[in-house]
Amino acid sequence: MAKGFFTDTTVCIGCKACEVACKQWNQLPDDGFVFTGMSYDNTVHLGASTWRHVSFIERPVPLAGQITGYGQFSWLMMSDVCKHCVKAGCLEACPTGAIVRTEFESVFVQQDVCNGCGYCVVACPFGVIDRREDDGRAWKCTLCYDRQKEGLVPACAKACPTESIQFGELDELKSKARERVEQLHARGMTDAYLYGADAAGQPGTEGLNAFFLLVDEPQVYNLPPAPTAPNKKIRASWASMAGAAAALGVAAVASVLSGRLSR
Amino acid sequence: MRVGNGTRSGADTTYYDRPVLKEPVWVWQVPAYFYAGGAAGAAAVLGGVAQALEGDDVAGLVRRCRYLAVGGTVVGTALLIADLGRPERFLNMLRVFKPSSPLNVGSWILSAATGLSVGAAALGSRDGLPGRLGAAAGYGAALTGMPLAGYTAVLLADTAVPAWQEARRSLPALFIASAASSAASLLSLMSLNQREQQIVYRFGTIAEVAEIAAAKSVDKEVGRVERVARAYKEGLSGSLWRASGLLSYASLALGLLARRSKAANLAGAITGTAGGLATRFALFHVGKASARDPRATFDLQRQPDERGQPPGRS
Amino acid sequence: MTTVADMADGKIKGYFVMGENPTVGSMHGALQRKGLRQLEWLVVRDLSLVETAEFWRDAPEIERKEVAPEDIATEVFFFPCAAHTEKDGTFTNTQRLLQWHHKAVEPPGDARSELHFMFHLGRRLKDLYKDSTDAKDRPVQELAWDYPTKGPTGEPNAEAVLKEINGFFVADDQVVQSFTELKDDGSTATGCWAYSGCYAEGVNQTARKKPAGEQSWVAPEWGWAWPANRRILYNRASADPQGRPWSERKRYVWWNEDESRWEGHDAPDYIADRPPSYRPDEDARGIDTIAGTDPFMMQADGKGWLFAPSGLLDGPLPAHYEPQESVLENPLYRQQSNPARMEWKRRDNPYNRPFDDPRFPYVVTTYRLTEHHTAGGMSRWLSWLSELQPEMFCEVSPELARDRGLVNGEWATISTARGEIEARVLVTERMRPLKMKRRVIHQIGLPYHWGSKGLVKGDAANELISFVADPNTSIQESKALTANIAPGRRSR
Repeated sequence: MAKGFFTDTTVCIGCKACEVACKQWNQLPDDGFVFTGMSYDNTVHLGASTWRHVSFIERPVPLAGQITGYGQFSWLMMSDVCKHCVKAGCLEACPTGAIVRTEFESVFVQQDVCNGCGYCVVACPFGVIDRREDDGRAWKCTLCYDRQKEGLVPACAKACPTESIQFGELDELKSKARERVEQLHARGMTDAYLYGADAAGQPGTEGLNAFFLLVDEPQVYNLPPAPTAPNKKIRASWASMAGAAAALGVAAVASVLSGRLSR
Repeated sequence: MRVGNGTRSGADTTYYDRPVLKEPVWVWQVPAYFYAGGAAGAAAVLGGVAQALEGDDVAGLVRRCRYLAVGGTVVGTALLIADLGRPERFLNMLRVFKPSSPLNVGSWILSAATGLSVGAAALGSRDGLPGRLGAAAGYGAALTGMPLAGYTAVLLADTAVPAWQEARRSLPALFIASAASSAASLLSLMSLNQREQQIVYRFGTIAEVAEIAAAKSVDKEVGRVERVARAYKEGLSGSLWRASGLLSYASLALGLLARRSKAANLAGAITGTAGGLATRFALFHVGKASARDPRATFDLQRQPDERGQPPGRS
Repeated sequence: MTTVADMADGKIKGYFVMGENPTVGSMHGALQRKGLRQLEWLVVRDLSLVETAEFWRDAPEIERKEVAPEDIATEVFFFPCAAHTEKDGTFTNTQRLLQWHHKAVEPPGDARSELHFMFHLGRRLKDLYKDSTDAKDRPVQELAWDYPTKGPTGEPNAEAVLKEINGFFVADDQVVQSFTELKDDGSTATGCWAYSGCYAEGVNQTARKKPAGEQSWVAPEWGWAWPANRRILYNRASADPQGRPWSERKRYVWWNEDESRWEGHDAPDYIADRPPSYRPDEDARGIDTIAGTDPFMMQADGKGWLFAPSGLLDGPLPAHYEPQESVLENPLYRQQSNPARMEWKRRDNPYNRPFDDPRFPYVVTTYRLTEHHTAGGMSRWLSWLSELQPEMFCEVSPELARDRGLVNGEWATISTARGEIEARVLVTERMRPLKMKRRVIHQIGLPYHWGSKGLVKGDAANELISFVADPNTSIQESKALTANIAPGRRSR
């Protein structure tokens, strides 16, 4: 049964409880203690040891439909996570079969198989998965596979105090999300839209099993506007390689034969 | 108090200029492998062809091609293993066959090419059945050498890194041409008879010309989006890329003089080798720079796609 | 503050600090530490060696070499303490809800619960005084101090303590059901009347954890609230004068005409059988003066008060006063600041001028971040929280940053008459200059969680703040003061 996350950024309060709950459940190390000066975001991006990450966007633009004393300003927060793409770049790229699709349709790295080749790192169009330096293997959100096995909700969704992170069956989540967008539009928040909810909206990934409700351009949240699993485009490259390889053979033949003829 | 009118942020917005993609975790062993594996593949091809068409007349060339193939594949394999986060698990690459992963396909190619090259080198000069097996291995090595010389380009193109992905059509040609010129440069340093020298010279010249043309077509292909091309123009990666181009020209020019001068031959071989290495390291750093630049990703994805549709959203 | 000032004046010998970190969390860190330096002994119980425990060797005045550790005579006793998961007991939140927590794991090493510490301290004191014939020691000798203990460490039974706090009949040791059963004739005993009922029927009511789906939305069977498990005080006000809910959707308590009783989702905070129609007689006394329409039972007239003629030291009406230190003259009254405020006029507690101090032209406010817990004892030693807010910072508007040459991500030094601190600069439009009296007033926002210890270190905002307090509750005035700010790090 396909399960995933619907992250509604309009109710995120930036408490980072998801980040902490994730690290605690999965016993992840810290990312270093660095003050970034990027609003309240000091963990910067998802990575090998940060599987939920809250972005803080201070923008010189008001939020549609919101009454504010701040004028040309609004503060957006968004809890980012591995998208568990239907067509997942990392999974397609993994040469060892360490990355698999689970019975919950999530994308999971088998740590006993991963040999740390790093190919998934460059294959992810969202910059999610990364290799841990001290450990040498690639890590990312497991969608709490271990908790799901026991019928539990993933740690981040469990900890989220505002239900910004919702976990459940994808069909149900999607209809809930579409209703939510309509509701927000009716309330004047006309910028609200779903990011990655289905293949029609995001053909490159064929939809995300962890999708989002956003109110600004994707890149504002550090999300790619039209991500694509790289190997959707790779046929042309193989064809070009075949042609060039044949040309190599021809060049070798020509080099050898031309000598013979000139003799 | 006012009600927001809901403007969106400008199209050039990024998240504090932070990368959207992860930088490749690969280190110098990977471009070094690209070079070694490429040269080995091209050498295996030339060796196999020479063996088939000329036989004993160019036995020296065939043997040297085989040694080069063995050296390149064995060193290349070692480099690849060294780059792994868990080198002791390198055999996991072969626990599945996975056409969707160029790295997996490449591991099979590399394994086959290594085995066949070693076989050809070890048995090729023997008599009788071992010799025939060695010769067969030499042909096999030539066949696997063709993809070995080029699959690494597909490996780079099959990523989310804009400067690699956008070069997906031209990059294999560049890699294969560069592999051939690298092999020719190395071979021209070895002691060959006149006939063999001629073959290597022609092979190298064709490769140099092809390499220059392929590099141009890479520039053209990535030039579609200015921001994607930037990694080929600026910074360390841009300098390396320019250097690799200049070295190709230099090597070609020196090659034309090589028949008359041993020094020119040597200089041509050195510039050719340097050019081959520069190409691989340039591409490696191009990828790193491109992954660091969020605008490369964003600008690329805001381009209309092949059907002229703007990037979709539900 | 009174105690700390007395400490600084050498009037106090010993000090227990349990689960607090006053040199970071209370105002005027320098004065706090001066007080600690004059003590004979100091006991700190905490999860880790917090700044208060290390004041004698790791503090700004030590760093500046104004004070030498060898000159400090205070004997410091540090007791590692058990975390909430390592001991039985209750949390009581500001909503008056008591929630029991069960020990999940044994505390590590020498760590013990507060209960263990207090019980064994009491036991040893009794032992110390057992042979005394001095009359003043009788209270210690007569103190009943005999809680059952368990395990090799002699951990007292926390439920036995809760049961005693609940109260009991002296004759047969049976628990009282509610504070209404308590008598002033010695026949009952209690630890605290407000908690009576938390152990009603001999059951630990605070340990109830009935799921939300199995009870009403008010969830009266989750934990226990003082008094009488009442979740909202004065809840008669949720019904109109006739006793009907103001809102059907939010109905809370109401008058049941058939049964002639108040009832609802919560325990009604009202005289259970007093009908809405009840009006007191002229000569009514006590509780009988509360009319059926008066929800505020604890007030003499049963009404909610804006005009408070008694009870407040600075009533009867709310008024606007400027804080002790302001940038403006009070725009409403000639009286600049609350005349009843508590001030500590002493040389070690200098104040900036009440307003227009040219040295300190900016407003400072302090606050907490979600990522850290108050003075940091529970968060600055935890990597997962520390990485989220790793350094002390100050928040300033782009305008102030421009005026003062402050650069996002770099250092700034903030100073008052008490001292100076350094912080990273966070330039944000969330901070807005205010326009008042035709002047532009800049604000500086300071979170206050950092100190000199822990995984992440930084200066404490409270170093800047003076001793001054509100007259009714002596709450520190730490939310508004004046300061200066300049780019760069502080002097060392």
